[in-house]
Amino acid sequence: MRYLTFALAKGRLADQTMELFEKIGMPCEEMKEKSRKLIFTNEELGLKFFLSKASDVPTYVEHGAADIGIVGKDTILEEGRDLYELLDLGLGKCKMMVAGPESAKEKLEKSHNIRVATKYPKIATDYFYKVKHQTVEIIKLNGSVELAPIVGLSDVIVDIVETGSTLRENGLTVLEDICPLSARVVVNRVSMKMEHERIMNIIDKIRTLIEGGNK
Amino acid sequence: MRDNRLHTPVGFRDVLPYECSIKNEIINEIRNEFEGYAYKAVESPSLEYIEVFSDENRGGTDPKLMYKYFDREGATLAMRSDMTPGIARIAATAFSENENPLRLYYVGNTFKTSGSYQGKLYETTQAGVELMGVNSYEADAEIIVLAIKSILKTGIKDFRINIGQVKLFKAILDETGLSDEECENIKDTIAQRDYVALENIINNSNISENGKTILSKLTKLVGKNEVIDYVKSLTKSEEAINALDELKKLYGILRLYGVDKYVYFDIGMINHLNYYTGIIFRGYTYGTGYSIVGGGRYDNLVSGFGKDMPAVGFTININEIVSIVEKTAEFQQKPKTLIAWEDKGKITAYKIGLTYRDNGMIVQNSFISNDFDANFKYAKENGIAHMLYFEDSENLKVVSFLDEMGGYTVSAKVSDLVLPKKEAE
Repeated sequence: MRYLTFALAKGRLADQTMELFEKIGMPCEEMKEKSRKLIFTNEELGLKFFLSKASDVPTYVEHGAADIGIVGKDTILEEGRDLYELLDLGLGKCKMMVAGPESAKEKLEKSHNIRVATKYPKIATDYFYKVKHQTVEIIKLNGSVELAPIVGLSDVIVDIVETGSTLRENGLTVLEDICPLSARVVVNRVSMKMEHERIMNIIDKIRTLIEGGNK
Repeated sequence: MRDNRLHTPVGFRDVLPYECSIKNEIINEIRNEFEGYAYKAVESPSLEYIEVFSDENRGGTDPKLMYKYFDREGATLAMRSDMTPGIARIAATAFSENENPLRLYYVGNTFKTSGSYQGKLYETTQAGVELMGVNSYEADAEIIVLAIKSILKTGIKDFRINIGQVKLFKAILDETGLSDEECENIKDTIAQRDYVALENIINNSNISENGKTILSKLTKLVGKNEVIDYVKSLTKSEEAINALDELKKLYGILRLYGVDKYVYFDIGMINHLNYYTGIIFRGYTYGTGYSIVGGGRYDNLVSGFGKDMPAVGFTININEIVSIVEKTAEFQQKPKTLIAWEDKGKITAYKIGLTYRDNGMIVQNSFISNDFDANFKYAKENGIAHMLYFEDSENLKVVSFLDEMGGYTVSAKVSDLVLPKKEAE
């Protein structure tokens, strides 16, 4: 049997995903052990798993290096790769938002010369240009985006907000909602056709599990 | 400092001998297959007016992705980003009605950029056919058969062709009772392959029960005739039923040709709705993340060039095929014979080499040394099948590298060599 390969976004999401997989009878004992291994297998079921940086998951899946990926909607939107997006796992729910000091609210509504700092330039560009039809200046940062409006680098930020506590502690507030986010199952275009039965079978099992859990 | 002379631009690359020989062989096989179905070769220019490629309503290329130039009059030219529009232009302008149905094929390179650092080629080789001037399921079937037969000729055996039908999907969508806006949203989400968003739309709209069943199972409606029957049980739309019946008839022809096992109906395969007007199909295999062949019916394309002409065709992505064949199949190269000589044997060596070549063998002149051992070593390391070492005009050593010993040598007389007989003139 050909291996089905899964790319998982490193971190809490990967742990939660493996718990889900274990519940539907796709465990990977190798992964629980502490080791320096990069790829973990379940020989019996012909499965391979590897962890990668979240933003790389769509790349692995698009090229077919992985058949299936588990990754946040934020990454899918930002990377803009050609993939099947099949299932919302309902894990890691949060929102993509525009945030900033209260004073930026008026500027955001009227002005065109807004500076936006973000780790997600594509999502920010799509939102301002295609949804709001507003010309803005995007500044790409790689972390601690909340700093930008505080030190005067930008007027607002576009970032993921879970509870909003970091924002509040720094005197920032949510100004606009862009979209809800959660973890998704993505599938390579060719795998979706060549391994259709196996993949749909897994998707169905996960779906049943999730829907059962919500009742 | 980086010396640009040593590099090819991003997205462009050299094709070296081994790969190049596979590529040429594959293209030859495919050409022969196309010609066996009476398709005639045409070439369109590599550079055309940008309007040929950019027509948005006919699935044109995003101008951002094209290589663009200005000609002396200031008109914008673009490198060929897609083979089909050029062929459609040829069909519309260079042939008369009574030559229909028109069967044309092409092999050529296309040029299109994509985002940076994605590991994609910007120059790719495409081979494909267009069957124009007929609109029937039989024409569709011929195209699918030819696509399958062509792929089989490349040595790839484990592949699938998924077939969708745009007319069918539109009829099903019409039947759902959804608003135009909702239908557009559904088409968008499917084009983006975002089935999570599709599910949200279906669950939050006032959709007919049957429509909901079909749309929510879209990714699962893949299979043979049973899928057709299942969808038929869920629709009352005359148009949908006609389309389904036609798919069945098409399948009958594929079965007749013995290629039905490669084919799956895939009701949800309906991307590029602007471009395709009937069947749409793609071919997939292991070993690549991209499809190896794609095609369908586009009855509106040729009309963009001033002549109403239904058309169906496909294009094979040669680069993907080569990369798979290179990895999986043991590619059979023709055996090569090396001839080497001592000065006294030179004239005989040249003459015999020429005779062999004239009879279709591959013969390589040594030029490296007159020394037997040096030539033996070279031949062994470079995959030579046989070596003929001419000591003088009468004596030679014959070395064969094909056996398991990795080269046995025998002494022979030139007069003993089996020379191919010259064909009678």
